[in-house]
Amino acid sequence: MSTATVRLFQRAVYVWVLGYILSALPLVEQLWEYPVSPPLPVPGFGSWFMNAFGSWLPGALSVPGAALLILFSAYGTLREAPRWMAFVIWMLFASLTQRAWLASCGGSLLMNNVLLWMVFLRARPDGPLDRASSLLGFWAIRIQLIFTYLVTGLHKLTGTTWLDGTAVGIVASDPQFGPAWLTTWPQGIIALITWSTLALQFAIPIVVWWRTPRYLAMGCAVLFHLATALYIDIPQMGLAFIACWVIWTDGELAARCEARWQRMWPSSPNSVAKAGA
Amino acid sequence: MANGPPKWLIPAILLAHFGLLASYTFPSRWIPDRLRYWSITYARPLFHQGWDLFAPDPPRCSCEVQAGIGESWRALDASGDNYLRTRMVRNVAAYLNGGSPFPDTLTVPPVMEEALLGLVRDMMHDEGDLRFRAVQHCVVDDHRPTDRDTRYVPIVFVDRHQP
Repeated sequence: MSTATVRLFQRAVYVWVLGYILSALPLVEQLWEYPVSPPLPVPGFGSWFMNAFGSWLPGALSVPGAALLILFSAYGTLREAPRWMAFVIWMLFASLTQRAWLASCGGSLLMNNVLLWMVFLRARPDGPLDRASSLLGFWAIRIQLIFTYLVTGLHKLTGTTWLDGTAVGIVASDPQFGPAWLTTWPQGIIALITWSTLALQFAIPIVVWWRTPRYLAMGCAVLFHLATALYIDIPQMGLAFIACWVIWTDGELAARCEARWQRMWPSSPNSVAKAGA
Repeated sequence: MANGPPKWLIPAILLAHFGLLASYTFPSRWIPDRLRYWSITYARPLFHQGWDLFAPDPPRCSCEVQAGIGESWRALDASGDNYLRTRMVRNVAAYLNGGSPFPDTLTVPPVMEEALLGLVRDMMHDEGDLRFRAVQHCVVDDHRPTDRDTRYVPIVFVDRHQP
């Protein structure tokens, strides 16, 4: 577990949170103030943290909550957020997405999980217990990411269209998704794209354990998520996955990216340097 | 504990966590009922997730919910709307199971009635009876997905006054 990787990952996730909340602001009334999404029962004790607004906090606090989330994630982008702040970020994000559950997608589900594990994750753990909790968060996030590809692949095996190669054609011909131009391509090519998508989803959990194939898979996954962001109209989901892929970068590459970040934002503290330096 | 927890602890926690998550998210017919129950108890409150977008098959029907007053109908979202508004509108159709052909008339549960009415707040002040319908374009043959049947399905709400 490299300090540079953790710090770069934290920045990537908090930039995503910032972007998501800022992009939601024009719809603040429908999402949070007077939500279109009807309130749902809270499923179990632990989820009170994820359903703060309208349950143990007044719903009217959701908009100030969004403002606080913007502030804290901006902080987390520039400096490592302390554990309590990481916890508040998770709680606010989860509660806001839960209040607007009709607008959620796989991206917000992924981030709900990742932000919770980020409470455990430290760029520079201090002491054996801190190191152990950080290691737990690090591997939980890494496995969570590849787990999603495995699960979606398995679900696709239980249908027929992913196996007979027609699934991508059906999605592309759907006026709500697209791209419509793909439907003019020969059936064989569409089948090949369908099977490649399925193969990628099964390959990722296997190849990430070796450096070169991992970066190849990462490149394919980024292209795949950019395409879904563009054509399937769920940009927050595609970008959430791309942000989470940063946890799989190795220390050397992350340190180079961090050095570039330092040049862009010279005022932010150098995460790669030793604590206190 | 001066040297931290034993080495086996983190792999053991991860194994248990992802084992339960697998039971929660894998296709339900693969998981024994009892294990499924325990996995829901564990995962639903804090670790809820589902990874079945376009699975087991992509929706064979494209579904647009429309609201109408008098003779005119309009979609619940317009091009240029915030992407989260579009997401809400599409999720309503998805929760109604709009990816499969509807019956001749669709009766929606109260929670979706509330969502539909929330999406048309701006129309509430217009005169006339507010109605909803779904417009579905359904694939007939998976190998020719561009040939789609169009169906107009009236949406009605559950009569809450009925005993």
